[in-house]
Amino acid sequence: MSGVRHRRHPRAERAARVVSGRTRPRYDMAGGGADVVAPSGRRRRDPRNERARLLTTGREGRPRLVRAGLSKLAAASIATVSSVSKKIRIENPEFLIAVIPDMIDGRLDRFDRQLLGAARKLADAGGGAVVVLGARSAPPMHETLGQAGADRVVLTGADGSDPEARVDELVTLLDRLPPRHVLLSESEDGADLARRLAARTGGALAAGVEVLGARQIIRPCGAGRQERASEPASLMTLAPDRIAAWDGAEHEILPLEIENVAPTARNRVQVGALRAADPATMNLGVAPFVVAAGRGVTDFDGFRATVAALHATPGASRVVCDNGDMPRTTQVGASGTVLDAVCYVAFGIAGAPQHLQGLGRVEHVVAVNTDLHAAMVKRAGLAIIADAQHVMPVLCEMLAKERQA
Amino acid sequence: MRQRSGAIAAGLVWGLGAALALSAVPMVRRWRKGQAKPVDMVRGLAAVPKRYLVDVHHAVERRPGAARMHALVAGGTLAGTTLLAAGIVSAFRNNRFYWASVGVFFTTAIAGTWLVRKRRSPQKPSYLSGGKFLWLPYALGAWNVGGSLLALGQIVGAGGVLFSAVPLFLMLVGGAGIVVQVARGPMRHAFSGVTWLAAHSRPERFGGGRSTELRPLDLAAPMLGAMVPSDFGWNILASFDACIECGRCEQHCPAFAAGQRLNPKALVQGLALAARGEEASAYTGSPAPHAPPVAGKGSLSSPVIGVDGMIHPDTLWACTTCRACVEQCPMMIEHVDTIVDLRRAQTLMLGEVRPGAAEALRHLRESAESGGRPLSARADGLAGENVPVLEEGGETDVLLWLGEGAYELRYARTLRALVKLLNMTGVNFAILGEAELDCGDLARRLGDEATFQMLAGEVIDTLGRRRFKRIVTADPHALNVLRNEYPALGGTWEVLHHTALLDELVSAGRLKLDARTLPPVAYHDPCYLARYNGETDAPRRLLAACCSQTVEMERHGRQAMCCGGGGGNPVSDVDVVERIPDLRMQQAAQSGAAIVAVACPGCTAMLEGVPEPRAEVKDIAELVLDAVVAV
Amino acid sequence: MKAIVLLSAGIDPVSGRPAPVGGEVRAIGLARALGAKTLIGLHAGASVPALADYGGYGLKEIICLSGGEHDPVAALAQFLIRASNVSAPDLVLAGTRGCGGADTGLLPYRLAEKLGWPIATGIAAPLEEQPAAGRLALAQARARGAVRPVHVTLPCVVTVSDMAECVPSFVFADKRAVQVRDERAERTPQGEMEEGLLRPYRRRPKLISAARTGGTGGQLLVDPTPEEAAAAIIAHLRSLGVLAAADEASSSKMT
Repeated sequence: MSGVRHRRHPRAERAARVVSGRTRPRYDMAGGGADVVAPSGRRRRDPRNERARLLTTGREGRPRLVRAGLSKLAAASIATVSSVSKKIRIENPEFLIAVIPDMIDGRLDRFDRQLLGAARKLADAGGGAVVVLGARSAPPMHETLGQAGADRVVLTGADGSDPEARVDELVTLLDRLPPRHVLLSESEDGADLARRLAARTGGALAAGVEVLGARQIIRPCGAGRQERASEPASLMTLAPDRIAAWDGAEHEILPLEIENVAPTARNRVQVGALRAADPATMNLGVAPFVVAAGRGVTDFDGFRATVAALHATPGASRVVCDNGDMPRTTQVGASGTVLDAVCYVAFGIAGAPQHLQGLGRVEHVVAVNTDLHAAMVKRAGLAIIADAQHVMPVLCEMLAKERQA
Repeated sequence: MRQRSGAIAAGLVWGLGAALALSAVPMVRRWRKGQAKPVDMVRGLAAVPKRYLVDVHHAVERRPGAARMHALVAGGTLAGTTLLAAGIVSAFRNNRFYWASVGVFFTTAIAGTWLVRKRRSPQKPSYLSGGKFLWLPYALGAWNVGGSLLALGQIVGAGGVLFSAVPLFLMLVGGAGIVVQVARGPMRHAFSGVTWLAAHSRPERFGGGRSTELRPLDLAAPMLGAMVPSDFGWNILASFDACIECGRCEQHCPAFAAGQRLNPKALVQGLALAARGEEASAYTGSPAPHAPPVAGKGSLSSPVIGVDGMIHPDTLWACTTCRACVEQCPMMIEHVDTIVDLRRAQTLMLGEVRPGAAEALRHLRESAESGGRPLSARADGLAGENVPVLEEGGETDVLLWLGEGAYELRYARTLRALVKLLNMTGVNFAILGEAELDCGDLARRLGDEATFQMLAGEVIDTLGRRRFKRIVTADPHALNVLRNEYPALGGTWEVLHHTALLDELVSAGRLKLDARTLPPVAYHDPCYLARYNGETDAPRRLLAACCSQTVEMERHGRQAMCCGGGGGNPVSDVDVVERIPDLRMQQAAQSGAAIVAVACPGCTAMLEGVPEPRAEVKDIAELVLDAVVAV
Repeated sequence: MKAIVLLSAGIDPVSGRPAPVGGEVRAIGLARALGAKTLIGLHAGASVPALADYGGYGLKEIICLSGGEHDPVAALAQFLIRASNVSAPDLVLAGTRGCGGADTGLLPYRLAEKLGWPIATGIAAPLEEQPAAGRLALAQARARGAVRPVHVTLPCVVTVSDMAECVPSFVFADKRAVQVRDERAERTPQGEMEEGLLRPYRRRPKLISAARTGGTGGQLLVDPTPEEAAAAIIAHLRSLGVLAAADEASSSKMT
């Protein structure tokens, strides 16, 4: 790696900075708020740019830097840029980077955006363009794709219900493009599709890439105790939350001339529609919304009714399970289940250290407790100092009334 | 007439003897279906009187009045009856002094019989059984009253119906009753008890000795552990028949007290009934609390554990292996061995363990740590202290075994206190670091002998590659395994509990303590230190030296109640009504203690898990560190 | 039904000690849940002691294709094609990915491609209602306990989700009874080598998502009336999106 000097490609760089919307070509030499990509593929920080992006108007008109909500704010700033239509346009790309995002319901989620961020990295290192392969059944909005860093869109006919037909179609399409790299997310669907593609084409797959640069990728192997560093592979899947989404200027989606492929059904494998789990009975460890009872709860029928009214999964503290008021499978904590919930509501749980260990990855905690100094109250985003036993029935009643209204 | 009734009575006694001997035949036949065990029966039988009068008596004596009752009824009846048997010789029959002796013994026995009746009348205590027990005093009474009347008639020279026919009739009825009681009732313990005491599986226990280690299992044997009654040793089958249903085990069992589906007495009776091919309904004592119903049918060759068997599986996993039942049992039955044998079959032959335990065993198999945590993280809690690691080939004086408790933040505090004390006193010590694996205690108590032997083999190998004078550990469970159970697998070391080492340092003057003014402190004996290893004094000496005021809980020392943390109980998700540690902390409160001193990571975790308000829980090492004035 | 479970000599991710791979253990459980009459373990490579652990989870026979480690897909495919001449397996099950090697999870896909069989992936359990013979109805595990029905034509390859709950219990007596048989794999040329540099894993921080750091940030209500408290909870849960809006809740109730 070291010792080799990388040549810049001024023409490609210039092409990458074309701003559309004028009759005369214009170039956005400031990078449109994006970090500059060094020829080695390493992103160079531009502190001034970064500061400008983080700057908002705080209270009393004072300037304020918001670092936590970086991507949110970045999105907002992109939106302003796009409103003055300073779009980046890549007309004659040196090569293509294909991205097959999951795009559940046609929307780009966080991981899809990271995928496009990675693709941009690879493309911008050499004047390439990013092609998104989306589904015709749920076509993505061009504007969203452009903001996320895509340059072209190709829609495919087959959806996920016949994975073999989908692979047939994608393989033909990719043959016609053909891209330098194909990127998918190491998500449930992305991982499956990537392996189907790899098996069909007989090519290698770099799975679960955690570090991606234009010249090197790193991915774990050996039970996660080792890693392999290599050149970017032709087919790669990206581990979630490893590579940043594109936070530069919006790209303009240009049309791509490609012959359509008509998918032919194979019907050997048929995948049906997703059925969500019943919150009342689902595995506590994967439940998104858990409502739990502790020693502050005495009426367990009332508690169960509250959980049902909230469409949540029931949980409990160890003492409650020990007393047999709730089954052992509902126990939250180091010796019970460790949660991965989005939201956790604790009724009458003080929050012993063992119990709090069970909240490892919970994002939002709501505590209802009589003790202002309970550990759970400190952990909570919304803490209510009140008797859980009084709050639960009213909560039930209000939800029931809403339903009737 | 008078002469003749004396002879008939003597004949009756011989007849009774013959009937009793015959009644033993099916029992012996049944035991012989059990596994052969190397037992020195001659020496055993020779030792039985001493074992009865010393060891059994000690245990019986713990219940007020029980020893007196037994001495009177058993002594009187046996002496009177034996003497009467001698009446087959006419010379005795003509001797008034002989008859006077017979009369005295039988009268003594009547007093004893009265005490026997009083035990269950007017109200039978819950720990005692009913059934045939209820008419036992009447059979004994008939025999003894008959004997007394006969002797009285012979002494005063009176004949007639009252002194000949009536006593003979009473003795006939009473004798028949006794035969039924011995052949098919609780009095079988007279014969089976003698057999079991002679052929005991742990003869080292007699005369105040200790034998508590679990024994290695041959992993190549076709049957691992005990699935059906005949998988037990023949002497163990005799021990089940020896159970007299006195209920001492039940009264001392922590799981029973907490309503955890285990009653050691019901368990042993279930096994005895299964071996005899009787139905569970024949049992008349308290059942295992809240245990779901089972078929209640069994035989020598059908599985005991299971919904179709005699004992519900939940019963097995509720045991904390605290040995309180074994400690109390007057017949010296080995409940814990029995439970572990049954668990071995469930675990090794069927894979039937509770989900939490299955998870822990999987981690032990795959990562040599019960929680699947990295071995390198064990000493993380000691990061701030100066703790050398003993590498392969290295040498030290004291090898500090951290145990699985070290992963917990709370217990790491205890270990930090201990390490500070060791550094203060300049003890040359080291830990194994990443090389320390789980010692296998949990796997072994859960019946997974295969994993235990695998872990033990690796640990013995690891220790064999390092030089040290002795091992010190703050975990009595690890202590027990390292000290008592590894020798059978080829690893013998001097193993000390941290309280023993600290006590040694204090008495050698290397550590000077000043008793601090503290609220009353009670010491909670860990089962694996007190009952398994008989160590109760060193911790108390340390406490006396560092606390101004100590109190004792009612149950302490070798009689202490378990915290509920042993035997894999915490990982077995046992359904409970009450928690064992809650009960123990109530006992601490009753003793007036504001601080409970502990000496085991299991006890620390269990007792600290009791909801407040409760006494503070502190390890002895922490209390000692606070009281150090000079080194 | 005849099923073959693909086995690998895995390691425990935490300790690095030899250990069975969770997905393959679940594959044995799924094969049993599908009612497989014959169940054989198949390992591309020489036998190692750790493979016997799979016996503890319910395999009676494990066949090791020694020499097959050079090109596992070819070795496995050859074995399966040869086995088909005697009694064809209906089902080849595998874990989602290995644990201790390249761990790409690509092997079952390649094998299916080579055999020309369909592959159903990430399966958690059989569906209750099974279609007519020749097809299989399976539940594909998805995040948050959701499932997708998958219908697949036999013979097929099935990969089993790591989230599947069909973990058989471990029985030591079965482990010691398992027959591990070595069979020479037909000589296959060395498969493609992975390029790049292999080194110990270096932990790197994950991106912190805006959603996770954001939050409402410690709202506190002291002694509200139960009505105020309930209203605050409902509003808060709605803002987080975990509680369906009132109209949604009522409409979903009606449908």
